[in-house]
Amino acid sequence: MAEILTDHQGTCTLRDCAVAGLGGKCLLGLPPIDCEHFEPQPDQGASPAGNELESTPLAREPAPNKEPSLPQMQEQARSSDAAAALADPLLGAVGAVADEGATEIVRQPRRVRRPEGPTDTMVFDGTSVPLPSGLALTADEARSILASDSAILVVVAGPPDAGKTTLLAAIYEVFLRGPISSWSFAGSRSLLAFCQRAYWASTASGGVRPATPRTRYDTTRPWLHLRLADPAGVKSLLIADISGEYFSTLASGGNLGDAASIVARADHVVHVLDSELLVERRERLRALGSTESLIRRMAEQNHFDARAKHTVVLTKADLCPPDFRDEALSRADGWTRRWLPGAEVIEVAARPANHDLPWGLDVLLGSVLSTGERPTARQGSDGAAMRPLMRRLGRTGATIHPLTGIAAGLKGWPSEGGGDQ
Amino acid sequence: MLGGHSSGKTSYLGGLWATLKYAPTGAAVQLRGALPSDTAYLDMAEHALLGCESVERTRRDTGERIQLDLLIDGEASTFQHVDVAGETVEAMLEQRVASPALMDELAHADALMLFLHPDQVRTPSSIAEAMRLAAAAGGGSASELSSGAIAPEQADIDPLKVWAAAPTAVHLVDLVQTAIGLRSATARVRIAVVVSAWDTIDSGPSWGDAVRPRDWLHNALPFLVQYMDANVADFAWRPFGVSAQGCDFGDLAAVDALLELPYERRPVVVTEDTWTHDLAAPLRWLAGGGEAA
Repeated sequence: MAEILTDHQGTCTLRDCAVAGLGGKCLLGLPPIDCEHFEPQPDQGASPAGNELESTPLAREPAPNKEPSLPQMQEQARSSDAAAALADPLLGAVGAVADEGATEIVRQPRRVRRPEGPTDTMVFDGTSVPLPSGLALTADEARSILASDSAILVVVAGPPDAGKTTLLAAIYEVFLRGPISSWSFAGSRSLLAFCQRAYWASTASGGVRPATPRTRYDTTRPWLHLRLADPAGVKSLLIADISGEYFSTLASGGNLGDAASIVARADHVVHVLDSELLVERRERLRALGSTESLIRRMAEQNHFDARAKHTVVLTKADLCPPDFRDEALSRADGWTRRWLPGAEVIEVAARPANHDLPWGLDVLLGSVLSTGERPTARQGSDGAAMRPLMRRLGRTGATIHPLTGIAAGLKGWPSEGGGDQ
Repeated sequence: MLGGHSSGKTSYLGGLWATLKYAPTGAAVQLRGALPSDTAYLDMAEHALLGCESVERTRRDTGERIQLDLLIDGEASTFQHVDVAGETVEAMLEQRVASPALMDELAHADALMLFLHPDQVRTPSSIAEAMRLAAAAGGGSASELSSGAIAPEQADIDPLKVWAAAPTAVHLVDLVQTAIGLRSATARVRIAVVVSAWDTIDSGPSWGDAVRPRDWLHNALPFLVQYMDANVADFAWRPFGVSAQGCDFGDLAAVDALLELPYERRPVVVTEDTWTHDLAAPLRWLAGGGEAA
C-alpha cells in the first residue's frame, strides 16, 4: 500500500508532532487543517490570486498506471474549475494510490483561500482580565451572588463516604440529559466544580466504575451554585459541599471547626445516612447510632439556624437490605421527630450499583426547593428577620454588616476587612 | 458571533456576504449604500465558499473586524462584528482569562450568534451508561461487567483536563453565561443558536420536515436547551439550522452538482417552521425583524 505523506508549512504546538517537518505525520492522525494544534505559516509562496496550493511531492518511482504526475495535476487545478472541485479542501485530504507494489505518492492539491488585500485585524493582546473560575465558590463569591440574587443555602451533612458529593454530582449528571421532574437547569457559576465532581463517573476518566473524588478537608471553596427553573420561576441554590471529616469529628465529641459557620447559615440541611452501612448486620446499629449522634449533637449544640429546614436522606438506597428498610426508615423518622421537627425522610440512589438510572433526586430537589429563599442582601436588612440570627451570631462574636445584612467575622464568610478568616 | 473552532462562523460570513452583495432590490436584508472599501476578508470567505474551498484559519488571539451598513426590513442598521478564532474563544473559557479588547466586544454586543457544528458535539458519556449498553449488547448484568474492577486513583485531576472532557453543552452554556455576564447593557438581548452544516443532519428538498433545529438541539444538547429556555428574562433565543455551503465539500459528487447552481440557491436556513435560501434570515431576526422574539 502506498504511504500517505504530508509536507505542511507551519508549526505544531504538540510536542513531538512531526507534521510540520518533511515527511512527518500528525501525532493525532488529523489533516493539519483540522488539527487545532497546527498553525500554518502565512503567505509562503502564495499565488498572486491569493489562492495557494499546498502540496509538495517526494520523489518516488512512477506507478505503472497512467496517473498524471503531480505537476500535471497542479496545472490542471489552476486552470480547471472541475479539477478544483476534485480537491478535498476542507479535509485537506491527500490521496494515495492503493496499488500493490506501487510507491508513488499522489496528492490532491489543497486550496486554502487567503485575503487578497488588507484586512482590519484586531490583535487581542495586553494584560488578560480574569473571568470567574467556575470552581466551587469562596465565601466572597457566594456573597456576591447573594447580593443580587436570592438563594437557598444548603448544607449536606454526614460522615465521609456517605455519598454527599455523589448526590451533587448526580444532580448535575441528570441535568446534562434533561430536566429533573419539573425543574430545568438554569445556570451555574460553578460549572467546572460540577464537572470535577462528575469527572470520575464519566468515560473520559478511563475508569470502569463510577467514582467520586473525596472532598478536601478545607472550607476555602465550599459552595456550589445552581440555578433551577420551573413554571413558577427561577430559584438559586448555594450548596456547601463540605468534607465529611468535619462531621465525623463532631460525632466523636469534637467540634465542627471551620464548618460551623457554614452550617449555621444554612436554610436547609440535608443529613445523609449511608444505606450501604446497613448491609452488614453487625454494622447496622452502629451506623444508625452514629448518624443519630451526629444529628443530636448538631441540634443540641445549636449548630442550626432556628428557621432551617431539614431532610434526612438514605443515600445508596438501592443497597439498603429489603428486610431492614422499614426499620431504617422508622429510626430516621424517630430522629426527625425528636431533633429535626418537620424534616422529611427520603431515599435516594444517586448511582445505583447495577448502573441503573438514578432515582430519588427529584424528591430531594423538591424537598430542598420547598424551602424559602434567603432574600438578597438589600432585602435582608429587615430587623425582625435578622434578630434570631443576630442572637446566634452575638454568641460567636460575629457582626452583621449594616448595608448588606450579611454576617461577617465567621469562618467561611468574609470579615469586614475582606478575605476569609 | 461566537463558537469553537470549525463551528462554521467564517463559512457563514462568506455566505452572508455573497447573499448581501447579490440581494435583489426589495430583499428583507440588503446592503445600504455603496460597497464598503475594505472587504478583503469577506471576499476571501465568499470566494472560498463559492469555489467549495477552505479558508485560512483565523490566527489565534486575533480577530477580523467587519462592518456593514444594512437595510433590514427598511430600517437602517449596522452590522459590526469581529471574527474571532474559535481557538481564542475556547482558550478564554479554558484559561478563564480574556483580553480587554475581546471583553469589550462582548460587553457591547447587541445580539449574539452562537455557532456549533454537529460533528463536534461531545455528548455526556457516563460509565454507568456505558455499562448498561455493554450489558445490553453482550448479556449479563451491568454490575457483573464492572465487578471486581478497581476504582481509579482519586488523585487531583487537572481542571483543564476536566474542562476539555466536559460535554459540548457545558462549554456552550458557559460561553453564553460569560457573554451575557460581560454585557454592559441591561436590555434583553437576542441570541441565534446556529447549527451549522445542517446538510449533514437534514436534506432537501423538504428541509425541516424530518427534523427541526430545536428538536435536534433538544436531543443533542438538552443541557443547553434547558439553560436557554430558563433564562428568557435575560434573552430571547431562536435556533437555526444553517448550511452556508449547501453540501459537504468532501462529497465530490455533491460538490459537482452544487457548482452548477447559482449561490443564491445553495445555502439553506431552517427555522422553527419554515426554510429559506436567505442566509440573512438569522440576522433579520436578531435585528428584531421577521418573527417575534
